[in-house]
Amino acid sequence: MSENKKGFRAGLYAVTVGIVLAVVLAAMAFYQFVTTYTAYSPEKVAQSFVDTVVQKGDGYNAYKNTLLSQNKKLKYGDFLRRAYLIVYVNEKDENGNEIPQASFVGTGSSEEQAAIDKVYNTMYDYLVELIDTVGFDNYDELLTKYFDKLVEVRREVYGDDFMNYDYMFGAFEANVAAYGDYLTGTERKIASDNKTVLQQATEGKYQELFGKEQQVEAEDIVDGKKQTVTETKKVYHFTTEVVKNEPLNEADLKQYIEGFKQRIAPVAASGEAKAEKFSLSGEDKENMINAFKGLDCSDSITAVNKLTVSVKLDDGTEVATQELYAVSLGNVWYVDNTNIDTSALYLAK
Amino acid sequence: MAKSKAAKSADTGATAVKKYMKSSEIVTFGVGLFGVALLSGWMPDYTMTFFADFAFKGRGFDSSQLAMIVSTVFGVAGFVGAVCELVIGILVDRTRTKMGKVKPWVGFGAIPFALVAMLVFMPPKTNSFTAATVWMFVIYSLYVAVSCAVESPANCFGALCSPNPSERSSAISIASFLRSVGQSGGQVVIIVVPLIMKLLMGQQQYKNAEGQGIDLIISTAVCALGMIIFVMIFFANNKERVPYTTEKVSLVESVKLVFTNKNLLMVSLTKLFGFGRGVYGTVSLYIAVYLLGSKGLKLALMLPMGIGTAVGTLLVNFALKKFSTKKTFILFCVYGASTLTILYFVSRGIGFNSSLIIPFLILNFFCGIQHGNTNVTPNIMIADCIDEMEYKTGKRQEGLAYAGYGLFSKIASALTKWLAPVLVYTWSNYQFSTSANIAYATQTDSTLNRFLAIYTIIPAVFVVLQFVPVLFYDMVGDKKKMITEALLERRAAAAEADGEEAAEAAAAE
Repeated sequence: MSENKKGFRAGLYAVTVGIVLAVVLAAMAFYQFVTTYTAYSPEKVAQSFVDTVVQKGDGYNAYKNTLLSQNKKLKYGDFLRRAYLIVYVNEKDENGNEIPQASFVGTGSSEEQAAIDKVYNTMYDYLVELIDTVGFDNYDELLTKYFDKLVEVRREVYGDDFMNYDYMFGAFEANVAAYGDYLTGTERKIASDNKTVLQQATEGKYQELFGKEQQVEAEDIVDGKKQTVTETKKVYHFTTEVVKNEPLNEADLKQYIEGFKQRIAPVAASGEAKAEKFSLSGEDKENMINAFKGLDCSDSITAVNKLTVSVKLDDGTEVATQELYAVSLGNVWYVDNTNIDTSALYLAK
Repeated sequence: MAKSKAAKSADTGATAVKKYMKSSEIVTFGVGLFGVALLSGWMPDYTMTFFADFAFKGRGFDSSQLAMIVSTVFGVAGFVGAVCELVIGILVDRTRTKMGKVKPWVGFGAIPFALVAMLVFMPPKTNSFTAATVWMFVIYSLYVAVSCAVESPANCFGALCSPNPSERSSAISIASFLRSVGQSGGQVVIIVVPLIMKLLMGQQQYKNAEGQGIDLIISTAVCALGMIIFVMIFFANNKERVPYTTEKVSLVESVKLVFTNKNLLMVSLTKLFGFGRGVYGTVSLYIAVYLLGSKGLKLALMLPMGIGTAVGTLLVNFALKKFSTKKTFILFCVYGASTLTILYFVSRGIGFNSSLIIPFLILNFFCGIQHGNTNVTPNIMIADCIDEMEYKTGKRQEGLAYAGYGLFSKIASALTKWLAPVLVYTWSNYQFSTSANIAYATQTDSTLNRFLAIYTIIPAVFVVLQFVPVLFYDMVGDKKKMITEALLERRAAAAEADGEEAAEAAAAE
C-alpha cells in the first residue's frame, strides 16, 4: 500500500485527505447554503418578500415566501392549478374529443400574434385595475376575477372556448412582468446584429416618482452602429432593510396560533364547496379539497416573529414600511399572508 | 557490454508477457479517472449557468454586460487551459520522486482541485460589477489551472502503469470507459441532489432554493467529495512502473512538425475548422430546462446522443473496412450535418413544446452517430501521417505529432468555450431571471428557436467546415499502400540486420 514503509505512507495520506476534505467540503457547502438560502432566517424571508413586492410590484411571486407555499407536497404553481385554474381548463369535452381552437392557433401567423397581443393587452389593463381595487393580498378574489375575465376575453378575441394551464399562466405571468416593467421602466434592447433596436427604453413610474437625473452610459445605435453613449436618465434604487425583529413570547405565540387557526379554518374548509360549485369530481375534486386543506398548518407553528421592513432610497429617504409576521414551521420561516396588508408597498397606486 | 542486444530482446519479450498489475490496480486506475472526470465533467456547463443565472442575481447588474463577461471568462479560461496543458506536461516530465512522475500531481493536486471547484460556487456578495468580473476571471482561470494539473497527469498514468503493452492497453481501455462514464456522473448527481432536497425541504422550498442556485452548490460539493474519495483510492493502490517518456516534446518542434507535413496539418485543421461543433453541449442545459422542464434532465437529453456515439464508433470501424479514412470522415460529416439539419426542421415544424420531446430524443440518437467518427478516424489518420513522416525522414515521431495535434485541439476547445456563451446568452437574446425564487426566466419563442439553432444548424455548419481540410488529405489509396509496404520492408531489413549483429555478438562472447 505504502510507497516507502519508513517514509511517505500513501494509504494513511489517502484516508486522512478523504476525511479532512469531506469535513471541509461539507462545511463550505453548509456555509454557502445557510448564507444564501432565505428561508432559514425570519429577517431574510421578510426582506425577500418585501423586496419582490416593492421592486417590481410582483405580489404574485412574493407568495413563494409565504404560508401559501408551505405545503411540502405542492409547489406554489401546483397549488394555483389545483385550487383555482382547474375550473377554467377546457381542453376536451365529456366524450374526450378535443375542444376546437381558432384556426390560426399554432400557425405563428401575424393573425395569431395580433390575437395574443389583444388578449394580453386587455388583460393587462384589467390586472392593473385589480391590483388597485382588490390587491394581491386578497389572492382568492384577484385570481378568480382575473381568470373569469380571461375566459371571456379569449372567447371574444379567438371565437373559441378552449382554455389550458399554459395559456392561463402565460397570460397572467406576462401581465405581472409587464406591470413590473411599467414600474421600473425598461432598458433599450439591441438585436444581435448590432444594428437594430429591438425595444426602445421606457421610463417607469418609479423613475418618474423617485428618480434623480443622472448621466449614465447606455448602448444605442448611432450612425447604424452599436455604440456606448452617455445619456440623461432618471435613476432610483430601493433598498430594503429589516429594522425590527421581535419574537413573540409564549403567551402571545399561543394567542397568535389561535388567531391564525380562526383565519385559516374557513379557507382550508372551502375546497369541498368550491369543487361542488364547479361540479368537479374524482381526482380533480380530491386535489382541490386537499390543496385548500393543506393551507392549515396551525399545528406545526413553532415560533412567530414580528418584523418591520423599511424601504429606502439611496439618499436614505424612507418610501415605505411594512409590518409583517414571520412564522416558523420547524426550522423554515414563512411570511404569514393571512394577516398582511401590503398596500403601502405598491408605491405607484 | 553486460548484455547482448539479443539478451536484451529476450528480456523485453519476457517483460511483454509478464503481468505486473494486480487486478485491483486495473480497477482503481479506472476509479481514479472516473473520480477526476466526475468533477471536471461537471464543472464547465454548470459553472456557466451559475455565473450567468445565479451568482449575482438581484445585484442589479446589466444582463447584456454580464452575458458578455461570462463569454469572455470562458474564452480566456480556454486559452489558460491550453497554456496550462503544455506547461504542466513539461513540469510532469521533469518531476522525479520515489512514487513517480504522475502520482504526486494527482494525489496532491486533488486537494486544491476540490477546494477551488467549491470556491467557484461561492461568489462574493458584492454590488460592484468590476469586483464580480475580476472574481469570475480569477476563480475560473484558477480552477482551469488546477484541474489541468490533476486531469492531464491522470490521463497519462496509463502509459506508466505497466511495462507490458497488452496489460497496459487493457488497463487504459477499462479506465477510458470509466472516465467517459465519470464525465456524465455529475448529470446523475444533479438529478439525485434535487430529489433529496425536495424530500427534505418540500416542493416549493426546493424551487426557491433552486432559484438561488443552491442545488448547484450542493451538487458541486458531492462531485468534489466523490473526486477526492475515488482519486485517493487510486493514489493508495496504484504504482508507476515504467519511465513516463524518453522523448523530449518541445512545443516549437511539435508545431513545426505539423506545418511541415501537409497531411498532419490538414488533420489538425479539422479541429480548428470544426471548433463550433461543440456549442451544442452548452445549450443542451437550456434545452433540458425549457423543453424537458429541468436542468437535471440534461442526462436524458444526452443519453440518446451518447448511445448514438457508441453505435457510431462501431459503424466507423465497419466503414473503415470498406472505405478510406478520407472517405469515411467526409461521409460521416455529411451524415452528421444532415441529421442535425433534419432535427432542426423537425423541431421548428413541431414547435418548442412537449410534443417535441420524443422526436427530439430519437433524432438525438441519430445525431450522436457522427461523433463516433470524430473520436476514431482522426487518430487513425494521425497514425498514417506518422508512417508517412517515417517513410520520408526515417524518424518515427509519435510524441511530437500528437502534441502538435493536441495543441490545435486545445485552441479549438478554447474557441468553443468562447463561442458557446456568446451564442447562448447574447445572440439568442436570453432573458436572465431577476427573481430570487425563479431559477430560469421565461424565454420568447425567438430565443427558444435560436437555442434549437445552436444545438443543430450551427454545429451542422461547423461539421461541414470540418471536412474541408480533409479534402486536401492524400494519405490514402495507393500512396498509403506503397508507404505501408515500404515501411514493412525497411523494418524487416532492420530486424534481419539486428539478428545478424546479435548472432555475431553471441558468437564473440
